[in-house]
This record gives sequence, C-alpha cells and structure tokens, in this order.
Amino acid sequence: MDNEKLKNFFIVLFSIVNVFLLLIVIMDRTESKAAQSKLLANLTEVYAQNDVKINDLSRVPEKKMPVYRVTRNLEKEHAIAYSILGPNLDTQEENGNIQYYRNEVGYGQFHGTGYFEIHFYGDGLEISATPEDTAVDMFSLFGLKTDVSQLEKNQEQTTLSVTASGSFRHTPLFNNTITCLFEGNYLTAISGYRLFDLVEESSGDLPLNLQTVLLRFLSIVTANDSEKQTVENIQQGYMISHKILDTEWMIPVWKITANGKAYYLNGLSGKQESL
Amino acid sequence: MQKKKAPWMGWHKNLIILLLLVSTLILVWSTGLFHDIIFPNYAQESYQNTQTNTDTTQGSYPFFIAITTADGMRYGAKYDLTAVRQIYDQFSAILGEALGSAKKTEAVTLVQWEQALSQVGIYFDFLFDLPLSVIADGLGMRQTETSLEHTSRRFCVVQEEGGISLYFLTSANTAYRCQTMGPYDIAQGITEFISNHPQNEITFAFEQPEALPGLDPYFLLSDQTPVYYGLTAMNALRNLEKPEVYFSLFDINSTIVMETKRGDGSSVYREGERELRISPSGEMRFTSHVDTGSNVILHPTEASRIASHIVTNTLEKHAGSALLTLSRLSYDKQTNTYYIEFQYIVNGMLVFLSNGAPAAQITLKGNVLSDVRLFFRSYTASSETMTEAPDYIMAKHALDSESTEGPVLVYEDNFENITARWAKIESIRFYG
Repeated sequence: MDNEKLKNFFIVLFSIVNVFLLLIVIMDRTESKAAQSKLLANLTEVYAQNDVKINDLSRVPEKKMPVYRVTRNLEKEHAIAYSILGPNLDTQEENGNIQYYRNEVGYGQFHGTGYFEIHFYGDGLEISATPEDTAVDMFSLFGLKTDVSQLEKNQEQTTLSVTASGSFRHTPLFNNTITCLFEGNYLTAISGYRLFDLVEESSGDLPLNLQTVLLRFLSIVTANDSEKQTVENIQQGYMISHKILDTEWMIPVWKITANGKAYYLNGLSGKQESL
Repeated sequence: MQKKKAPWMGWHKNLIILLLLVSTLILVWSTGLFHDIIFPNYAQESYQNTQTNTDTTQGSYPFFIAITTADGMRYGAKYDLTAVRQIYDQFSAILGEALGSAKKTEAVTLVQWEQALSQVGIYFDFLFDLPLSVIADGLGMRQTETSLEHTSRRFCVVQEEGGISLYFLTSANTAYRCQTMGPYDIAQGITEFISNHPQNEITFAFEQPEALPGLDPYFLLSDQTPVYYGLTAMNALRNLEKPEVYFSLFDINSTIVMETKRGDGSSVYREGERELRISPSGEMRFTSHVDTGSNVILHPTEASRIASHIVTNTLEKHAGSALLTLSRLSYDKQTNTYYIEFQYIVNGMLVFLSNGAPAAQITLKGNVLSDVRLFFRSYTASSETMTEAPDYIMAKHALDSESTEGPVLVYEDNFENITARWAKIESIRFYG
C-alpha cells in the first residue's frame, strides 16, 4: 500500500471512529439529562408527599465541586505576618505546630489548625481609611477577597468588629471567617481561621449529586421537625476540615435553608454537619 | 499519462489526519470510558481515605469517642466508624495540637480526672496504650519531641479557664493534666455538634457506680444496640505473583537473591544475612542479622514511621475494607529494641486473628528491621448487618470474671470464617 492509500485509509478510519464516539457522547448526555429531569420530578413529588415544599429544582445550579487539599507553607505564612506587622519580625516555633511572630508593632500566633490571631501593641495600628476598607485590605492579605457590602459589623461599646466569610474561586467557605477589631481609628487585632497556602485538587473523592443530597435532607428534616417545611434556598459551598495539623481539606457542602433554618449537608457523606 | 498531484495534497491530508486524531482523543475523553485506566490509583489520595498524616506515620485511631457540653449533654460513638470519624475529624487537629503543645504536666487525682470527663470537652479512647508523641506525630505534629514522655490510651481535651487543657490516664491509673497552647473555644463547636445529633445514652461506668459495681470506671457504656456488618476474608498472599516487589522494602538485592522451596509450600528468599519467607498460609516473615545501624537510638516517632512504612506498603495495600491501627509500641532500653504491632480494624471494630498474632509484628534493633511478621488478610464487609446486645448488658456479664475491664465487641478471624465476639483487650479473652 502506498503512502496516499494509507493516508486515505486513516482518514476513513478516524472519521468512522469519530462518528461512533460522537454518537456515544450525544446519547450519553441526552440520557443523562432526561434521567436527571425525571429524578428531579420524582424528587419534587416525594417532597410533596412528605409535606415539604420545594421550588423548581431544575433551576438549582449544580456545579462541579472537587475536594481540595490545602497545605500550610511557612514561608507564605511569614509573608502574611510581615505584610501586617512589618519588618524585623522575630519568628519562634513552638511545639504543636504553632508559629509566633513578634516585632515592635505587635505579635501574632499562627496554628496548625488554621487558627491565627494578631494583636497590635499600644492603641493599635493607626488606620488611614475607614475601618471597613481597612478590613477589606487586611482580609485580602489572607487571600480572602471581599467587598464592603459583604462585611458583617458589630459595635460593642467602643469596639467595632468587622467580619468576613471566606470564599474560594467564587464559592463560599461556610466555616471560614476572619474578624478585625477596631477602637476608633486604630486596628487592635485580627483573628480567625485562615485558608492555608498550597491548594491541590483531590481526584479520588466523588461528591454526591443534588438528588442524593436532597433525599438525605428529606430524611433529616422529616425525622427532626414536625411542622410543615418549606425549602427556601439551596447553595453549594465548602467547609474546611482539619483532620491533621498543617493540612486542610475543602469538603463540598450543600447549605439548605428551610423555614429560616440553615442545614449543612456534607457533599461526600450526605451527613448533617456542624460548622 | 499519469496525472501529477498538487504538492499541497500531501500536507493537506496529514492535517486532516491530525485533526481527526485530536478530535478522537477529545471524544474518547468526553465519553469518560477510560478514566479508570488513566487514573488507576486515585482513591489513595482522597480525603475519605486519609485518616492521618500519610506523609509521616501510620494512624492510630480512637475506637470510642464522646463529647460533653456545658450542661452535661453527651454524644458518643462506638463500633461505628462513620460516627466515630464524624466526631474525630472535627476535633482531631485540636487533640494533635494539645498533645504537641502540652506543658507543665501535673499528676491529678482520679476525682479531678472524673470531673474533667464531665466537663465541656472531648474524650478519646484508643484502646491501646501508645506514646503520646506517636499519636501527635500521626496527627501532623512537625516536631519529633514533645514534653510528654508518657503512654496512654485515654485522653480528654477540655475547655477550662484560659484555654484548652489535656488530661490523660495511664495504665497505672495515674491521671495527668497539662496546659496547652490552644486558645480556642471548643464549647461552641461541641454544642453545635450535639444540636445536630440526638443525645444518646452514653455514660462512663463511674457515673453509674451502683448499676455496675466493680467495672472499670472509665469504660464508656452505651445502651444502644451495636449494629455491625458481616465480614469475609481471604488470604491476600494467595495470588502473589511477584514476590520481588517486596525485596526493595526489606533491602534485599534482587539480583543475587537465592530462592528455595520448603516442604510446607513456602518460598524462602535469602540474600546474605537477610531472609524473606512467604508462606501459603498468608504469612510473610522477614528476618535479618545485619548489625549495621543497631546502635542508632531512635525516637518513638521515628520507629513508628519505619514500621508504618512497612505496613503501608504491604498489608494495607491488600487489606480491602480493613484499616490498620498501631496497637503497641514498646522500647527495651537495654537491647535498644522497639517492638511494634498493628491490628486490623473494620468499621470501627478490631479484628483479632484466632492464632493470637497481631496483623503485623515488627522488631527494630536500632534502625535495623530485625524481624517482621505480617499476616496478609483481605477483608470484605457485606451489606448484611447484625446486632448484638448493648454493651452495658455484656459489661454485667463480664463482671462475673476476675478482670474489671469492660468488654469490647471485636471480630474474630479464624482463617475460615469471621464472627463477632465480645472480648477483653487486656487479655484477649472471648466471651459467649
């Protein structure tokens, strides 16, 4: 067989294989969509039978939520402490994976559990912008991107606390908050749980789909609450799990709000979580 | 006369072939048919399979766990891996930090220990006495040294004024309290956890002294009926085709190794002072008389890591539904020898081999593996569930015997079938 015939052969062969595979993909997607619609319709019916009201499930967005493993990096952590406390940092490592950073401005402690707190000496760190804008800047140093409208504020006597919830790639982190404390024009402390530094996707965990999660939710809500329930909102997010020091796992979580109460369901196990 | 082809025809067809090839690859990927072939091992990296810090040491797992709120509400878990894990995953890092950062250890009375168990906190029972530094290492502690040189199976992390305190009880029934560097408020986390879980009637035996006089006072009693899965097992060495995969693990040079067959069907691989024997029964035994390195003094965490490396790369790869937990780590100073053992656990229950041997028995002289005995079993949990009498009933039954230790529900693997039995861990005695 000469070269040209061989090329023609390959063109025909690959064309047939392509058509075959394309058919598989199209059929698969069509079947999957039809099955999902049927499942959602059945699910709505099951909810109705159990006296739980739920809105149009086909409008609930369901995005791919892989599990992430996030590890602590001491150099990056030092850089955060440096950017807040400034130069001449004295670093001290304590047993239990606790790092202390000190200089003439203040001191901070960073834990292997993700917890941290930074305190400023004297009146605190004088701020040149509003407390809200300063808090947004501080949060960004911890990788927490937010804006003033998303902040939670609480004034207690002379102390103003400004809190932001974390997010990761536009997805909320339900159990990750950082708080800045202000006294007048001074920032006195920052504390909370930080997301560690090096993120890698874990490919082995298979998150549950919306239908499975909603079935689990139904069994929880019907077992615990006798009053008629209305599901008001369904939201995907992450919770941070600290099984071991210096490592965090971002676990997909479904936040389901019914009758004003938020339920958090683990996207891997379907179990109710306390955040 | 032959028609002359345009010169662009050649690369034109090449381009079409290339595009079709790329399109084929994309479509193959879209079908998802070959993902398992492309990512054959990915379950190993998953969150759900990660018990402890796989980069450092093999896990040691609590078998019983309980949390107590400020108003005395308690939630606990026994014989249910999912339930134990749900609590442990939330509080294990706090235990790790408490163990790692513990300071100013002071002996306290048993009354103070009992008060701690009733305070806001988390109680962990690992069933086996283990060095505190080894448990902390498994929970990700970076430093190998802690200020704690004790061993214990029972720990309690409690919220006290000024932060978190760690209490533990040694096998000699001496209780200790240490301050830790944890500034957390665990009370809120515990209250939230309990609010999402129905309180179950789990108590310490000392809280019911009249009901169970003489029982180990710190035995955690549940009035719930344990539900466990049926279990089958097979000899995981039976289909071993390539014994040489284990040679590098034991530092055996595969090019000069001598193989001999024994009458009992076992294969023996010998290289100098090292010998690896693989028996048809499922036992692998490695012995070495190499002296180099036997004077090196290891920290318990280093010894545990060496042993864990062996177990992870042998038994754990074939264990099926089972995990392996560290059950003994003792050190003989005179001979500079560590004795380390692991046991199989399935769904939160220990598996005892009826020959009385642990799943892995590892002897380390200095930093040299001198004797390694491994029983390769692969366990499969069935969907069929069975129930047993609640453990407070068994505890009453157990009190008839001379030991005060509370009975523990375990699987007994007699190499033919597996049954669930009540046993006393201390002496591995079976009941019923």
